[in-house]
Amino acid sequence: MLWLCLHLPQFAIEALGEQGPDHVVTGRRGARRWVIAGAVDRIAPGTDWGTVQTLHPDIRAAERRPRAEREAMAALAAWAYRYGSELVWEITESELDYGLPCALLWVDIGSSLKLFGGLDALLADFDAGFADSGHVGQRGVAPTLEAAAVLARLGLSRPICDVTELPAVLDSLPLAALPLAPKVQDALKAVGLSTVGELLALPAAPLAKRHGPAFTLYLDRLLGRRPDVRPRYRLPPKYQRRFDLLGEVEHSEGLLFPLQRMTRELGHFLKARDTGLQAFRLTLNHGRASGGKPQPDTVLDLRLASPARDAERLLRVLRERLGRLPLPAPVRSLKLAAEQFIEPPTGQGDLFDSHAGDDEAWGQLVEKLIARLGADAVTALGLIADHRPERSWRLRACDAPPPSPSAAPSLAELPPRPIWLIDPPKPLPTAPARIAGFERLEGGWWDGDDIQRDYYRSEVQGSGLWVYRDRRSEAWFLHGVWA
Amino acid sequence: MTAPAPTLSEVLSRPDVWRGSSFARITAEPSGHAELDRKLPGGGWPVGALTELFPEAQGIGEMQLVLPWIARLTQAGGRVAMVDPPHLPFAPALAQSGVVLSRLLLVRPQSEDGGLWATEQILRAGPCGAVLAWPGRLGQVELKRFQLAAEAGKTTALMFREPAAAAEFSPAALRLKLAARPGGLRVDIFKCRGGTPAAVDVLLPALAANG
Repeated sequence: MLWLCLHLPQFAIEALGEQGPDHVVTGRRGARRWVIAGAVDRIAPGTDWGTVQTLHPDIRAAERRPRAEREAMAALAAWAYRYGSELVWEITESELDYGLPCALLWVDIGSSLKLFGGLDALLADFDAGFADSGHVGQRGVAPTLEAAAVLARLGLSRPICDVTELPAVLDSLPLAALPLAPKVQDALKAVGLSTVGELLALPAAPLAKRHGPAFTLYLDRLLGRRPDVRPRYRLPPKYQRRFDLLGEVEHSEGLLFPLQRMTRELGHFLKARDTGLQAFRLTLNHGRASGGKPQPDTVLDLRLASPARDAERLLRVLRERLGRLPLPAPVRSLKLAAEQFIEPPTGQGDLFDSHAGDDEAWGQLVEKLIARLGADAVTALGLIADHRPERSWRLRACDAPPPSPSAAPSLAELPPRPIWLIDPPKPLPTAPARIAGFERLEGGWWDGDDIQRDYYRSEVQGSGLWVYRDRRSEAWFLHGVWA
Repeated sequence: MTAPAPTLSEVLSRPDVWRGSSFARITAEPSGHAELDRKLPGGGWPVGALTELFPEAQGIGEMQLVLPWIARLTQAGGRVAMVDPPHLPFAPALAQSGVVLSRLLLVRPQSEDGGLWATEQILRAGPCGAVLAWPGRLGQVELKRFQLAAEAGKTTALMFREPAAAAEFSPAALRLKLAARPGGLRVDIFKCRGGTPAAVDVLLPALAANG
């Protein structure tokens, strides 16, 4: 096993979505409140909130949101899944006052080295992908979970691939590099130890007696002398991700940037799950109106013509839909959710098939048209076996599978029909001149839509018209155009 | 991945490369009317270009002129889009003409702008072999955009327009005026890229049979 560990010092604030440079996240225990993350260039993490308020009155604080942190970690894990199937993550609370939470994500890259063409290529790919993720952090690579975490926390990015190399690297590190409880840390310092090497040189049994078996277990796991079994992270069956906006967004264009990030994360999730989706939901939260009343959310249900996992395609559909949506109120936060997943058809083509990419391009085109014009405006036509003209056709959704040929009604005995149908029929003030091509259509009492009509073909100024006389009311109607 | 450099013969066969000695070869789809195909450069509706049709009135048989080709295209697995037709296309009639309905896309937008946008998108995307559109008023800019989109998507675009618009300049590759004749249509080819203007009478059996 070769673990790549990612240490994310600013995770508490990154998880809250888009935040400005004067935003911080604070931790709280009892009456104490201190800065955990945010505004790094001005405030050191761990600073007391009272001090911050005195020195920087413009700083705005938010509470930690563990749920948002879990969601953000899940999104990051979905992305990291491409580097290895074994994932572990941890967001630990420090026991200290002024303690900082520690967000760590491990992925086992040992079995993916060949796939990426070696460790260097994998790490280069990882670094490039991580730079796009919107997080800041450091990585460490080591054969054990704990050693990788130690390297990541210190920012030692040089990978260590073998357990035997571990002591040489760890020996020179200061004791503070190990995530030990402050009590243990102080006790070790009191006996004159300052580096990890000095600690590891001591016999294990007395250490266990003095500091508890958990302490020696930690050291054994650090060096890979004992197995470190932890529950692996599994991707959730449903997808849900919330994103808070920095301020209120009044125009839908302003939502595109966060949506780009959200669809990218969703794309990572779908790729990791090796599935796709055909429907998803975007919820726009408008917060509270000026009167303090909560406003109803705007819910957009989006459908795709075919299952997709491509972030670009999801974003395109969202963009078209948002482009024609007037926002009822400024948006405070976004939520993207998907529950049903369908595996997209793989692009396995016929060797000699020249239309290979056509169906995909077709699906994307239909999707784009529907997103902008609405599903009612983009349809296909279907036949119904009924002799009444207005009931012999129907509009069909484009993404519905085409009906089987055997289900199609036979049209062989049907007299010719005009290309255009006037729907509903238009009453004619007078009987048309020059009529020919008689056809009588009757019946329909069984469904309450009984017709008794005599159809004729007429011609007005060169245009062929399909007209009928209602035999009950004796009125004439225009029902079609021969074109 | 870079595309391989085109060979000289490929370059010369491009429709936008013109050689003094001959007309550039025009790729076209037979319309299904032999007498019309003989007069059209390439022998049919030009592919990857804009064709404008100006019927003198609605319902003189203008659809019968294009339906044989639409039927053949859909039967061969191609797709056809109809954008903003003047009335509802009657499914049984299309099926009678041989059109495979599952390969036909019907776009009926609420607004004229929506129709223009949809036409351009479909032309540019390319999965439809043919687009039949009934745009309202079109300016130079829209026509030019349609022409470029049709070139980009290698789509055959047929626009049915008001007869008055025939007098305006247009970048379309082919422009036809249609007039009613007993049992058929008189097609006046008054502009055609890569050919000479001509007029031809086309017999439309579907009209003759019912007339």
